Amino acid sequence: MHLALLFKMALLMACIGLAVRIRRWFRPVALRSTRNRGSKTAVRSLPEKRRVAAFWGRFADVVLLRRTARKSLYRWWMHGFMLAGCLYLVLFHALGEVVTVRLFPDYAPTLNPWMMLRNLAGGMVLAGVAMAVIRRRAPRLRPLTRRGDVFALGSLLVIVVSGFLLESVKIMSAPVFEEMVEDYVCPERPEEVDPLRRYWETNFDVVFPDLPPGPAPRPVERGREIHEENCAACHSRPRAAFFAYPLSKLLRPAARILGGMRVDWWLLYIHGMVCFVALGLLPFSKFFHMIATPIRLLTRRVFSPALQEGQPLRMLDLDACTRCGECSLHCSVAPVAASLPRIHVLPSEKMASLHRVLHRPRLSGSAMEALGEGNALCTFCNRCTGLCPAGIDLQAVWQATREQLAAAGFEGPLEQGREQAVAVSAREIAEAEDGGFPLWRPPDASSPILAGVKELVADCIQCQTCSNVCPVVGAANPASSYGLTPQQVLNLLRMGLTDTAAGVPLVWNCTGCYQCQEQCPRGIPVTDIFYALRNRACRSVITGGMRRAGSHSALTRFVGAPCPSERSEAEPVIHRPVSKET
Amino acid sequence: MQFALLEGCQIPARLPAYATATRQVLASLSVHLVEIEFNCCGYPIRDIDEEAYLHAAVRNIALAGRRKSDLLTPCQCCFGSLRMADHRMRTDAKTRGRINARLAEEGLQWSGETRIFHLLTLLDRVVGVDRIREQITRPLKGVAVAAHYGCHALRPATVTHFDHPLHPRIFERLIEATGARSVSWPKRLECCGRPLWEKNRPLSVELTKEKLRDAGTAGAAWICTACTHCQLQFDQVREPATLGHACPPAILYPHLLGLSMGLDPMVLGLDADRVFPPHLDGKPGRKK
Repeated sequence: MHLALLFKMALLMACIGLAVRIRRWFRPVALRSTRNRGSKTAVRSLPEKRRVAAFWGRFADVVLLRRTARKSLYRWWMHGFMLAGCLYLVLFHALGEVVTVRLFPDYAPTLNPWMMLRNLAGGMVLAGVAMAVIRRRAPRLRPLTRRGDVFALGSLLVIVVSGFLLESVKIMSAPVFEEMVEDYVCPERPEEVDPLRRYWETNFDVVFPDLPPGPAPRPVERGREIHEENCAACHSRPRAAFFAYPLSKLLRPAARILGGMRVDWWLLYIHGMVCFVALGLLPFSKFFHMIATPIRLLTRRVFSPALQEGQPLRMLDLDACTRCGECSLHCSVAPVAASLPRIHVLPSEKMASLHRVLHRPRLSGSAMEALGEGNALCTFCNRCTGLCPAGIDLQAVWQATREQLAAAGFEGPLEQGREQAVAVSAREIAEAEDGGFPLWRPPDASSPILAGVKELVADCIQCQTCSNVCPVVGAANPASSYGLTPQQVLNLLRMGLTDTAAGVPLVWNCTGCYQCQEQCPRGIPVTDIFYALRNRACRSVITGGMRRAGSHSALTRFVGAPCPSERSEAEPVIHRPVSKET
Repeated sequence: MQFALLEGCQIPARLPAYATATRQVLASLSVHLVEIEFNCCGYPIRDIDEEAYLHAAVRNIALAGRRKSDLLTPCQCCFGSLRMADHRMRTDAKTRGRINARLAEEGLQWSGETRIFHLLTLLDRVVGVDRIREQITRPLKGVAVAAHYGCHALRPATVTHFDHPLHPRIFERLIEATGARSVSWPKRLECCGRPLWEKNRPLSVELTKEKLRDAGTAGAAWICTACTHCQLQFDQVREPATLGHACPPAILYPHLLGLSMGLDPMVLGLDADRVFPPHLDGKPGRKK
């Protein structure tokens, strides 16, 4: 049969795919955190006793979906329905001839309790899929839903619905009945089977197109005899199929047409083909989480849930992501993502970007940019790690990627804004020193404070209080940290040279301590003006003024860097002191 | 009145003991806390986009407002950020309209009724120093403590209403309530250097070292902080042993208070790794 061949092909494809993907778990992914952040005291290993408890805890994580239940009971029911239903259907229905028969030698799919259990499992999957679809359509999760999620839910839906339809059509199909009679009763004359047909019409709801009406009592007796002799061992009455049976009642008026067109045959093919496509694509689709997530949960290091340092990035982390979106729904900086929709701040989006970067390095320039900018806005609050149902240490993923992305030139809007502003400012200063004069520009109207900055600064009496209280000017080591003092920056603004002022190192090394603003005798909001200048530079980066496309060398540096063990020592983090000469 | 504790982003990941101790101390002082899942206070994004900052900050205020509770944060950067956003909402009708319109999309609203407290202002103004003194069972007699005022709680004073910006006394009052002696030191109002930790590490460390040396010269056994960022900064800069013992270690105020209230160090989230409790004889505790 074609389906058997297709099944073998799908199985082969799945096995090869699994081998390829699982192999990547053992290959080092060359991203490693090089900088020590946070206090190391947050990480403690557990004593032996708690280690054992942690093992059983992780068992509960995998089998009972404990981590899922912790944050959302709705999701627990949803996922539990799908998991239990699919597990039953795969083991006891799809692999019925392999598994069920071994355990229960009398097994036949058309006997009870198998018929009832199959309908129950199908119903559970259907309920789970329905809950998942409803959840995904919620306004916050909808934009995060991608093709992979639609494929996973869609294929499950098609498999279950086609299964139910197939069963209901088969219940009332006369051609199927005749085939079975051919195979099992072997009558010498076709009329011999008439009593059996009669019996099956009344008790098994088969719709015969040309059976003469009006049953005589005698043939019914005869029908039962034939039934008990030939069919009863494998057939219970279909009422137990509590989903398919009512469906067949519903389809009854069309039974003859359905039987005549052999719709059961078509449905079998749809059912089987979608199953095989899902099987073949298992290693390359969302279904892969069925393998990766339990393994991730079981291999989680026994550590306190606090921060873990310097963990290498593992492919398993990416594969274990089920794209459930819980991380993004609870992300601490999610409101920021709502304000700056161009930047991928949300954890699930960053995982998707990282996935693209690591799987298709050639196409990943924009993905890396999205990842770099999103990562730069992450506050590393650890919330996503705490609630990830798959037990992925997301914080370690962000940390491992951040440094490498920064090294590859994807440092995020603040750093890019600074570089851009410093470059523009340096050019203007150089032109002025060459005897030219920096161009006066009309006040920048992008923010209220900059629009009115000339009037604000007009009050300045050059008393230098701001410069005297500034801790950055006070530290003066290196002196180039500030370039110009606050009062000199104000003077530039008074002259209308906003671009020149925006690139002064002091503006970017400002600690925001508000000493200058607090102590200004004229009440000039110096710190707020500096904030506005930084905002202005970053805005031009975010709105795409000079977004840097990742160069090819940057990409290879990110993707093809040597693995941590091969590197002689961790790359030092370079902090370029911002100088006037840059 | 009930208070919603906004821990901020750094405490859960890097300084969980601060939240633990704050909860313990407040429970002992019968301050009722409610749990709300807040978002980032907006401080980190303020450099980049003001609108995103205001939205994030005001959203927290609105979340607390929906539960009819006041906001309490132990982090001074969160406090300053929230107070600044609240101030902007009060004084600028255009901003108020814009942000409220965005909050309305998710059924939230800034009403202006939610008060915003820092741990210290709550202890000083709502609980009161007298009630704290009643709870002290093991006064830290003779321990010299330097109060480190964080910038973002103190300034701009017209926005934060924390204390007098040039001559604040609130922190000293609270330290002396524990029985400790507060030390006067020149750099008590200066920046701890944390905002530059990511942007310009050498300058950041330089600022911190100056402060630490200054406190040491003034004879402080401990620097007391009431801000996540300041505490992390002092801890991290002190970590390399090159600074010598002239630099006192930093301790969070709820730890100081909790110890003087006789609470178990473990209950306060203190352990051998984190900070040694201050010795009652006035010598600085040592980090292991």
